[in-house]
Amino acid sequence: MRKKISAVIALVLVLAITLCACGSGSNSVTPNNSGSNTKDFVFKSGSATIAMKAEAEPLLKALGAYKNSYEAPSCAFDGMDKIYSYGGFDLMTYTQNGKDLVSGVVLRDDTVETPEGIAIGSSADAVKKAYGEFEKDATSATYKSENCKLLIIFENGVVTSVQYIALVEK
Amino acid sequence: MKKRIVKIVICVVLLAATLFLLQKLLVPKYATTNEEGILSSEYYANAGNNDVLFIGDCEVYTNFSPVKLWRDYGITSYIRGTPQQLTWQSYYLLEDTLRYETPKVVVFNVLAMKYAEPQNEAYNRLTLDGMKWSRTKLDAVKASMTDEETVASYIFPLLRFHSRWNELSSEDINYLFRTEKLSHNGYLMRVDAKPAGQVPDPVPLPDYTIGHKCWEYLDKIRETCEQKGIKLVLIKAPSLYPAWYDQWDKQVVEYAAKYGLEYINFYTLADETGIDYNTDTYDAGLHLNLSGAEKLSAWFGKYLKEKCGVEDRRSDAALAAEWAEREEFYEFMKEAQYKQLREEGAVTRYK
Repeated sequence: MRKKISAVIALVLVLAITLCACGSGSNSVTPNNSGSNTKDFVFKSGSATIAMKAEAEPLLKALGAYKNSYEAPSCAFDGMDKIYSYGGFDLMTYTQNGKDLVSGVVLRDDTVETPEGIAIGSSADAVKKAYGEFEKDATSATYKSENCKLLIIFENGVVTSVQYIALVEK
Repeated sequence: MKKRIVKIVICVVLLAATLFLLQKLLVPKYATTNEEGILSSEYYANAGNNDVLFIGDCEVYTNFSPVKLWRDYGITSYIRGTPQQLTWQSYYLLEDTLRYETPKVVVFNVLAMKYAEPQNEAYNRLTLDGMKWSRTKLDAVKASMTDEETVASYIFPLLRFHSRWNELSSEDINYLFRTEKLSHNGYLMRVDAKPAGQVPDPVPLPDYTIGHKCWEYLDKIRETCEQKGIKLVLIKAPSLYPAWYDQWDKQVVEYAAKYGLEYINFYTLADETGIDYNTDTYDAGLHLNLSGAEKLSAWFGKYLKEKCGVEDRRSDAALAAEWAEREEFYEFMKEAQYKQLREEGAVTRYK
């Protein structure tokens, strides 16, 4: 009887240890993101080449003084979304593992354009030439690269918004 | 034969007890970090006698003070708010609440109508793990899960958190079998202030249509309220960020008009409520601080009394005694946070 009970206890302990040990890495239930930068859509401003998920600090230095900034803390988890306005465009960042990474760029007026030559006010045809076909009569076009979703919105065949959005896991 | 049965029973009990203890140890405690995770479970100790129920995301649990509603109007209320509470989660929290009580007014904050699909597990857990088990919770889990989640991991959280052993801290031991009260009938207090300054322009969207699933569950909220004789009030809290687009607002206005519901967009009522975005928000316009929440509650209490007929219950001695205790805790937390502000220059913890 004792031997059998000992065997059961041993079994339970083995099970417990197995359950505890079979995982590795981070188990915090917090939003997490990962990825690498290759052949991505990027936005350029002066000497700064802004890729999605790139570390923000060197980019902020390269971009110089911003006109305005805004910080939006997460409702529950650690981390802070930040928005830096440079007049012609906004740069958005998010926090991961203590570092601010680029989450997006939004073009705000026609003083700036994408490296492929698309700006607010460009025609839908110009967008097709620069990035490829999209559905006829569509009010927006989306192009994806490894880390970036490039969203272009039209109104009456004219570009009204250009947005670089980081592709992050939810 | 008897001995054999006894052995089997001992084995099963031993196994169940071990797994129970492991689960208790390994699940997040939400005691000193991500404290919002206990809001969902705190309700059950305060269920009953609430004439007004708030459901929604952070825009309800930071922006309304049930203690202020009680003090000024004798209105009893509870906020079943959780971070990024999605519309279907609000419906199931309403259904869950109705298992314990039937409020006279339900107030639903519409910001979550921006999300037409489940978003992420982290926020799901904050809302769902604290709910008591019932058919309602099971339905809430099924409606909320992302592709990577499983129902089993909600029934047995050990399956989800078993590998958390290398992150265990003293918090996991200290709060193994206990929790500490955090909210004031669902209200999460912050007394500090951070002026809003210049809020960024909203980012244009390719499509402003509110998703089908949101309407489906708003219909369920409305129909449930109708069946129970509850007045439903739709609100949009007065946040400056994230953007609440005019196009979304118009759709909610049309819905409210179609079904004869009240819809209050508090952002448009800043003059009437007295909200000052220089002094009444603790994070530059996302959430109100205590000063802002009390101003909003003062305005809304009058509305609940005059437009919804919610009664003053301060003459009920038993209720008054319960609320006196809540007021005491409210004042204790308020002072604790002001003390942090004075001595440390910032509020870094709730108490």
